[in-house]
Amino acid sequence: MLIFVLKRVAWAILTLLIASWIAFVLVHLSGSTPGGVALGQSATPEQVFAYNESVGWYDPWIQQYLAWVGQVLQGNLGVSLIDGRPIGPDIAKRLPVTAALALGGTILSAVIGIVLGVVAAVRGGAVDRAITVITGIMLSLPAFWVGILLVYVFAVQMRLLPATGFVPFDVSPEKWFKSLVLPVLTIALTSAGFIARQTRASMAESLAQEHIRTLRAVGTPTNRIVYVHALRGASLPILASVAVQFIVLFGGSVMIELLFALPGIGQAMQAAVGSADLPFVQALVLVATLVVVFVNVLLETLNRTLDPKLRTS
Amino acid sequence: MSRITTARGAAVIAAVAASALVLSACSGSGGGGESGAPVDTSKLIIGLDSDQAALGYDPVRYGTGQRMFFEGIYDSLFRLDEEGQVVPDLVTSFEYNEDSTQLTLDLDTEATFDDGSTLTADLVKQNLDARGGADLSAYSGFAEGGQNEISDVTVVDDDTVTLTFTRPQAGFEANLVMPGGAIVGPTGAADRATLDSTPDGSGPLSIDADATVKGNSYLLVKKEDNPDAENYPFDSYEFRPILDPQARVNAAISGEVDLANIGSDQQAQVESAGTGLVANGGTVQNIIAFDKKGALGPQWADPRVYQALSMAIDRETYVGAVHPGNLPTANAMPADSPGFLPELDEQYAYDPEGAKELLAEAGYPDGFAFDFTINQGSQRDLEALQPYWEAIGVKMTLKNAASTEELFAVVSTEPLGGPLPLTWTNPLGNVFGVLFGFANFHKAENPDIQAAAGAYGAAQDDAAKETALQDLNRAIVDSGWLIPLYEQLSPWAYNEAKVAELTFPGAESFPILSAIQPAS
Repeated sequence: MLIFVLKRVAWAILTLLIASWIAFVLVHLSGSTPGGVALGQSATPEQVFAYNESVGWYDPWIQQYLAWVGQVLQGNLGVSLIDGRPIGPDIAKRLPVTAALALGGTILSAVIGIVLGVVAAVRGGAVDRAITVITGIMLSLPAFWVGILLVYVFAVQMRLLPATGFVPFDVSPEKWFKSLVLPVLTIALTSAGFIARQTRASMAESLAQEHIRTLRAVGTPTNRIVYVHALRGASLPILASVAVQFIVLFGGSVMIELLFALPGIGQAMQAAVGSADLPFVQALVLVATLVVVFVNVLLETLNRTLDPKLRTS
Repeated sequence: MSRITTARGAAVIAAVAASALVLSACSGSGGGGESGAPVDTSKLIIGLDSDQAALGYDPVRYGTGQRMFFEGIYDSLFRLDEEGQVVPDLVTSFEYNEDSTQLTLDLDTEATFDDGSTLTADLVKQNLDARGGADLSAYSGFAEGGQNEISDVTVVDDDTVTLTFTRPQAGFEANLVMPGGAIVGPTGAADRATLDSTPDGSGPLSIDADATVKGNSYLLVKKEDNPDAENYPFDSYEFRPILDPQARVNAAISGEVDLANIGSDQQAQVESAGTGLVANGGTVQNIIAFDKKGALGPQWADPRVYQALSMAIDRETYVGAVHPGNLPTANAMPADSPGFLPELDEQYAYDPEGAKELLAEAGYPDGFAFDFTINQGSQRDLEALQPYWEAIGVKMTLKNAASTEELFAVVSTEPLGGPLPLTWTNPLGNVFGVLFGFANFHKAENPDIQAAAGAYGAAQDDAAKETALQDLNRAIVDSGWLIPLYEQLSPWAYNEAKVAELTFPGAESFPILSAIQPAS
């Protein structure tokens, strides 16, 4: 297992390097230059050229890339072209927001999705059809609209929860929790359908397996069959869909962050792309890739733990 | 199993209900203090539609839209008072030379920066001498070749400085309010890059860096030892950029922000929620004529063509669809200006048949075609106007500008531009800076406008000013130098339990920060 993990980590590092190189190349091909962005439209071409030269923009790409990687390895993600502030601390402030949002959203959508999927697969008939309709609605509801609706009911009308904003955990755990309830619920209500559909299909397949029929024949309690044996057999695709959900949420919760005015990675990415803040974009791509790679390694390790066949293959 | 599931379901419902009760018990009123209770002045939370410090804390990198954020941090040479008049701030007195090519400023040398140093004439010179800085956008007009070029800044003595202009500049002090007149301290002036992360002002507020999250929340706290601190009734001011308009309204209604600028089309929602609402007008959006001499086509020299274009627009429908909540108008001047003429709205009311007749009289019964270069911001407006003009035979081809430079260049290559927002707090500025200024590449003359502007400049009393403004309004509209579209409102939602009704300096969209008072 240790060798497997080490191999996956090595692949992960290679993936990070390739992804960061692609991001680096795309940034260089974007048409913007650091001087153009930092100095604004009123700058003369000479001023822009001088700025670009001072930051090594005209050096060979591989030289620039290696210099950037060297800085990153020392924990330096560079400075923003827009306001000259270090990027690392800014991302560090935003990571907990997006992590809490993505993690909370994933966990809640997984709980709702798995429960609905299992019930649909086990009960079948009218319950299955009703859950299929419900998950279909969940899948088709735009998160933005659901968010507005939840805010209207729980924040504007009932005044139970905040409509916008984020309170760090260390400031007030209670306010932190309250600031996350509506965004997380919005994510869960719109994401659970995907996991529910995946769970239902996997469970149906798992329940049809021969060993499950044998367990039924020998009188194993239904709950044990469903929640231990069948669910474990169905868990790999479910885990994969939960992991995909987390990855999507981590990089793509821009709309949720905007709607609830949360200072997360998505909001930063939107601002950085909009203002062509090239080092910031590059750093955010690196962080997002790091999360994807980490989740993949974790998923593969979990898969091997859950499925003995994978360990021996 | 069914029983077990039901029992678990009931447990889940009970847990959710219990959580809701706990949350309900924990939540505050969200709407401010109770009636009769003293207002909590520890913090004022302001929701805004943009990141006020997206470029860091150098005020000269911004436009007037960030005035409210920066005016507590920095002092400026001049400032706007609550009526919107330009009054001295760091300047104690000022005077122009005879031909208005020099402005001498006496300075308040008691203003103190964070490093303990005080304002000097040298510091003012150092600030203004940075006017060639590529990213200092508020200085762009002062730089070489700019509309208001300052050719030299001379230190006369410790507290006196003289600005020399390349051309006469009556009323130049209006350019020295925030942000152009903001004075940064010695540290910031010596190395403006330090302002990226740390402000350096002499104002009564400073940034609490620990409590600030860039792009999400900026906390300004009072410097208690600053003599102007007492002018700010709240102990701290939190600015929250909330970019989504619906989120901003939600935040205002639910009481998470004490005031927020909202969209014109959201006024009804705010009112129906019982939240305070105030809207300031004063800015008129216009299509502006560039080719007033007919250099690009003879039709553009004929006022009847512009009048026809104006009459072809169904302003009520257009404004209702594209800018709901704003006020359709055919007046160049806003409704509360003494120059406003109700009869212009009747004269240029929607009348496509009358417009066609005017075009025929002008010699264009079959209309004509022209190009109009637009940007993303004006696309919806021009696309809305396109069918109105097409209905009278005038075919407008829209083209998206590839760059700002291209957009600016159309002043010389196309007949029309806009929509251009104009306030009328400085009528002569509009006439000579805009109509006869940057928008007059072809050097057109108009005796009616010039006479009315001259009369306004010479007017000695309010009655004479009113008459001159009305003449000016009519002359501008009849000539077609401006085709007014609508008066833009700047609505704000505010918590009536926390904040007294907001007031605005003139036609400004943002209140003065220190003028925001607690509810009484």
